Amino acid sequence: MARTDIEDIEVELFQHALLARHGYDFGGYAPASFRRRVLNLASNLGCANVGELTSRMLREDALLPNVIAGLSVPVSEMFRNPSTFRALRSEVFPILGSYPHVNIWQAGCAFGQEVYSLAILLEEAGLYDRCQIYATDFSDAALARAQEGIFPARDARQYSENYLAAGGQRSLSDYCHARYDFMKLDDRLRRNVTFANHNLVCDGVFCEAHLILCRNVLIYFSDALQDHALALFRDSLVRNGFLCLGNRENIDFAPAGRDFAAVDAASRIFRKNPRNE
Amino acid sequence: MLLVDDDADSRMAVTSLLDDDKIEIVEAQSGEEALELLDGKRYDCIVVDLGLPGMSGFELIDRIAAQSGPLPPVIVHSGRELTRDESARLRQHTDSIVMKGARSLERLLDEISLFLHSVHRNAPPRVLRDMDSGLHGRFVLVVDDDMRNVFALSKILREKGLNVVMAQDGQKALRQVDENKSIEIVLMDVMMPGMDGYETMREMRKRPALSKLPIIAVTAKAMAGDREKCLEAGANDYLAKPIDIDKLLSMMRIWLHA
Amino acid sequence: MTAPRAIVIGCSAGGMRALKDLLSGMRPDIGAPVLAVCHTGSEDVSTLCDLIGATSTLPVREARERHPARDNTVYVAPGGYHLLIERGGRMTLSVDDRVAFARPSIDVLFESAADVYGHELAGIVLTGANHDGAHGLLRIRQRRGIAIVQEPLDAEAPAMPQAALDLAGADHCLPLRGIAPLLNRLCER
Repeated sequence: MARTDIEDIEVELFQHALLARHGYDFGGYAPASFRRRVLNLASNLGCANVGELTSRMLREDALLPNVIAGLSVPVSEMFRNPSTFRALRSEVFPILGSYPHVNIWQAGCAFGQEVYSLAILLEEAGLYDRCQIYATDFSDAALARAQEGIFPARDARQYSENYLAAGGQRSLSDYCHARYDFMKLDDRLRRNVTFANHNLVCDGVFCEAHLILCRNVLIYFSDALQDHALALFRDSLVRNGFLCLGNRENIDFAPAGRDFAAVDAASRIFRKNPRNE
Repeated sequence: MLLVDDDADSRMAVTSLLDDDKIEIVEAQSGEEALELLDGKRYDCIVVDLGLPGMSGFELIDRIAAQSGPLPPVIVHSGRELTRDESARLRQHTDSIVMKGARSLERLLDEISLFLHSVHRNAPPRVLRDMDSGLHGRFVLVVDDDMRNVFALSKILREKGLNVVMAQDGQKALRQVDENKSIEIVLMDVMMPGMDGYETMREMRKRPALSKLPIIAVTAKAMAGDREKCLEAGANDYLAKPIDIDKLLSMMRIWLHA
Repeated sequence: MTAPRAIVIGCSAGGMRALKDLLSGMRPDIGAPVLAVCHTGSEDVSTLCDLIGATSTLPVREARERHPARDNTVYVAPGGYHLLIERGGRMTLSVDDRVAFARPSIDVLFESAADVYGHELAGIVLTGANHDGAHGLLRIRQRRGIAIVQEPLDAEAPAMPQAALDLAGADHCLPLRGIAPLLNRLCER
C-alpha cells in the first residue's frame, strides 16, 4: 500500500480520535488543507508519523493547545488587504452610522490583528463608541493572545504601511507603545471588545450583528461546512446586515450563499438579502 | 404613511425621498397631532422623530402601542445618540431605528419600502395560547444582551402567563435579583460583553439569599465541556440555542415546582 | 505509460516569459488540467493571466477556490494564497505559513497534487531564483509521477531548476523549447 494511502487512513483516524477524545470536530474541513496541517503538526511535534501524533494526542492532554494551534486560522497581519478596509470604511461604515448601536462579530480572530485594525478605523470614523465588537475563535490560546494585543516589533513596519494604505488618518504608532522587541496596542482599543470562545462548526447564534467579518476561515471548510457557517452568519445578521469574507472566497457553492448579494465583489463585502417572507 | 417630525426641512427630505404616487404621506408636527390623526384612521407605516416638542417620540410610541389593535410598523428617526436603555425601550415596539446622518435617508427608504411592500405586514393578531397553569403568574428574569432574543423570548413567555423581567447585562441582572424579590427563576445567556453569564452566575451564588434560585444557563455553545462549565458556574440546568421552547417550558416547570 | 491526469508547473524569476512560451506550444486538447504557481511578487495575478493567455493555446485563468480544475485549462494560483487540489479535482486555497518564504508555494501545490494523482501526474520546474519546488518535485517522483525540469543553463534564473535536480532529480531535463512537445507526446491518449 502506498505511503499516501496509509497517510490518508492515519489522518482520518486522527480526526476521529480528536473528536472522540476532546470534542473538536474537524470532519467538515476541506481534506487537502487539513491533511497538510496534520502532517505538518506531526512533523513539528517530532512524531514519526500521524499514527504517533494520534497516540500522543490521546494520552498527553498538555499537547492539546499545540494541536489546536496547528489546526487553526494562522497568524495574520494588521490591515491585511488594505483595500478591503478602505472599502469597509467607504461602503459599510456610513451605513453602520445610521444605527444607534452597532454589533460587529469578527469570527476567527486568531491573535487579534484584524480586530484591532477594525477598532482603529472605527475610532477614526467616530463610530467606535456605539459599537460592541465580539471577537471569537475556537482556540482559547489564540483568544488569550488576542486579548494581550502584543505583536512582534519586526511586524510593526508592515502593519504601519498597511494602516496607511487602508486610509488610516493618523499614524499606527499613535495607537501602540513600542518596546524593545514588541509593540503593544493601547488598552483603550479593547474597551468595547469582548473576546469569547465560539466554534463555527457546532455553536449557534449568539448575537444580532450589523457586520460580520470572517476572512480566510471558510477556505478551510468543505462545501457543507461553509454552507453551515454562512447560514449561521445569515441568521446572526440584522436585516440588510453586512458580511465581509476573505478576498478570494466564493459563496457560489453554498445554498446559503444565495441569501447574500455582493456590495463590493472585489472586496468580498456582501449584504444580506431581504427575506421573502 | 404618517410622518411625525417638528422640523419642516427634515420632513421635506423624507417626502421628497418617497416620490411615489402610491404612497400617501400625512404629516404631523407633534405627538399630540399624531395621536389625533391616528384616531380612527389606519396607517401602514409611521415614521417618528424622537425629538418632538411637548410629548416625546418615546412617549408617543408607548401611547400608540398601548392602543388596542395591531401596532402599525414604526420607524424611529433620531437626531441624537441613544443610550442602550433608550434603545431597549424602543426595541419593545420596533427594530427599525435610523440615526439621522450621512446615509440615513438611504436606510430610511429601505425600511419604509420594506414595511409598505411586504406582503405579511399585517399578520393576523396572535391567538393567545392556553395559559400554562404551572407557569402562570410566575416571575422570570431573562438575561441576554441580544435584544432580538430577549424580546422574542419575553413575548412567548408572557403569552404563557409569565411575568417577565429583562436585563441586558450582568450588572443589571444582579441589580434585578437584589432588588426584585419576586423573581423566581433566571434564564441566563452565557455569552455577554463585560460580565459574562458565567461570572454573573458565580456572583449570584455568592449571595446566600440566592443560593436556591433556579438558574438555567442558555448558550450558543455546544461543545463537550460547555455544559459542565455552566453547571460549575452555578447553573441548575443548561439549554442550547436556538432555544427549543417546549424544552425550555418543561425545564422551567420542573425548576419552579421544586 | 498512462497519460498524466494533471500537470503542475512552478516558476519564479523569468517565469512569466517561460510560461508564455511553454503554453503557446501545448496542444489544445492536452486532456488534463494545468495548475501553475508563478511567484510574481504581485498580489494580483490577473495581468499575468492576460499576458500568458494572449498566446496560450489553452485558456488561462486565476484558480478560484472550490471550482473544479477542468481539462485543457490553465489555472494560476492567486497572489498571497497557497493552491491545493482535492480528490475529485476541486481547487482549494490556504493562507497557512509561507513555505520556503513563498505563498503561493510550489511545494504545496506539487505535494497536494502528488497526493491526489500519484503516478498520473507531470510536474514541471522552470526558471526561478529560489528553491521552492524542489521538495514538491521529490514528492512527485516518490509517487512515480513524471518529473520535468528546465535545463538550468537554459533558464533565465537557474537556481530553482538546479535545486530541483539536486534534491529530486528528474525524468526529463531539457531546454524550455522541448518541454511543450514532450508534454504533448506524454499526453497522447
